[in-house]
Amino acid sequence: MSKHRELFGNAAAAVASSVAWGQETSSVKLDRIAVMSSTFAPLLKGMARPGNPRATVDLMDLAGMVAERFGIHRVEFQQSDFPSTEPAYFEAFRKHMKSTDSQVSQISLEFANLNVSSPDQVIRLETIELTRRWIDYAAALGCPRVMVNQGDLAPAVRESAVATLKTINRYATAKNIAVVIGNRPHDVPWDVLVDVVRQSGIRMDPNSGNFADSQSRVAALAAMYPLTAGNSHIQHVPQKFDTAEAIRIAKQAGYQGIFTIETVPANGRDPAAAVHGVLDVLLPNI
Amino acid sequence: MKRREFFLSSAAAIASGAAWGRRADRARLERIGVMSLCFEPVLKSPAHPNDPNRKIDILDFAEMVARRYGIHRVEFQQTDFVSTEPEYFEELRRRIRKAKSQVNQINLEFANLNISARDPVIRQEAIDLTKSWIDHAAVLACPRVMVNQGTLPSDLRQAAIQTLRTMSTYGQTRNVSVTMEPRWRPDAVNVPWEVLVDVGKASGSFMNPDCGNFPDDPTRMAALRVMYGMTAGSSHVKHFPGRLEAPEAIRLSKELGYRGAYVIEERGYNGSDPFAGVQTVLSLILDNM
Repeated sequence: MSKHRELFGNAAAAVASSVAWGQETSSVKLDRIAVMSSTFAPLLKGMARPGNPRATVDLMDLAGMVAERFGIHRVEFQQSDFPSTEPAYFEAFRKHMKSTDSQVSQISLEFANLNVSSPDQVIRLETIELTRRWIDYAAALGCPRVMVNQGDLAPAVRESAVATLKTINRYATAKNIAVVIGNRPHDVPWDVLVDVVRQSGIRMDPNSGNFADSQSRVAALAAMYPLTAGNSHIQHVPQKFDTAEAIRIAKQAGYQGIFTIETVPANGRDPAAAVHGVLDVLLPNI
Repeated sequence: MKRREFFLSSAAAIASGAAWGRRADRARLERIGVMSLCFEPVLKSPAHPNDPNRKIDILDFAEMVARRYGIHRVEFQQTDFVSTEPEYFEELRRRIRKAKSQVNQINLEFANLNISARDPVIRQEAIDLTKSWIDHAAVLACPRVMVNQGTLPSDLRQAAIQTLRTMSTYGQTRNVSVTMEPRWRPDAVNVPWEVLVDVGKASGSFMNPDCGNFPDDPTRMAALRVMYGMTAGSSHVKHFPGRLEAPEAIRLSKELGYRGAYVIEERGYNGSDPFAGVQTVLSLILDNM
């Protein structure tokens, strides 16, 4: 009986210890995972989505929901998510984030008609101005990164785009904020992006899914992961790419940063199930 | 001797009269400004780097206006500035101070961004960019920024008012007034002046009356009668000979007790030479204010 109890007790202890260890491992891993707000776009109340009956989640409550449901405490937002940029709103937002032990891991900036590749100097200046504003907001929210849209970086505008990024980066550095760009689908060749990042002093946000083929992805990710500011996007597109392979490349490059889940239509229509699907691939591989 | 005395007295009288005239002119000139827009064809521009007519650097604009016309108020478009870095604005401020001049107003014309945008994200961007320029205006000791109100359609009017109110509230914290002007073009969707006045009142922003931006004289006089009472101390003066003439508007502003600035906006309405055109409007203002 005693032996049995002991055995049982030991086994239970071992299981408990293993569970605790597993939980600890899992918690360490979860600390390196973030989710993009765009994943939950269909559920988010917002100024751009009035009248949608499914939109029941207030942006203020998104981090709490993500923490509770997935144990993830990092959320990446789009600048267009925020219904206000007044100091009082951001103060309340920051308090909400803190109450769930969460962090704004990055803000992605997608300004209407404005980006660093504009041939018009006035538009580039407006891009600088608005980006600076959001760098200030990121600082107010305790967010360490903003991602800008690099536009087409066409050869004719590349030099002025680099100069614009340098100006933005100088301001950001003073505020302790990193400026990053990501590789986008059907976008600028990856080696051009890497060159622009190096010339301008900004950082890279590698996206594991935004490539034309596996070959270019392997080459690009190996070059991009050493250039990050501690964040990368993970798209899980099993029909096209091996997600585990992208994570292996990141590890080989010594990447210690965050993997931010960016769900795609192939992950299903239910945002929660889609996030779980990507988490199931991420957790065993990071 | 008597002849000498008489001659000296006459000379003194003439000198005194001239001095009085200069003082009067100076007092009047203090209330007159010039928009950089008047000189757009001769301002250096990164968009036209090889245009030989463009010889005036925007940094030297205030000095040119002071030297040529004795006018020490200048009004810029935000698009005039080739940089928004603190060092650039510091240099601009230094040159303006050297010319003993003042930035009267900065006019904001953002690409596709205004308070009447249907998309709230765009309205938010308009707020943020305007706030940035309010900050720049404060750095330049400029007391006003003028925004573009867009078309103010009735279904978006409340949103536009709210957006404008947010801008004006921010402007107040920086001691910078937010203004709007009446706009009118025969080929555009024009905002009725009564709507503009209502939006100004509802949002706490100010009017920048522009005596040339009306379809006809009766409309103009009715609108100006209301708008001159709602300014933040500045107005635009255009002169369209035979159609919308400046003197009548200036006389009305006086009648209404307007004590603010008259800022010349001349864009080829009085000849193709910008220097001569500005001089024409300047003379009309001096004669009638």
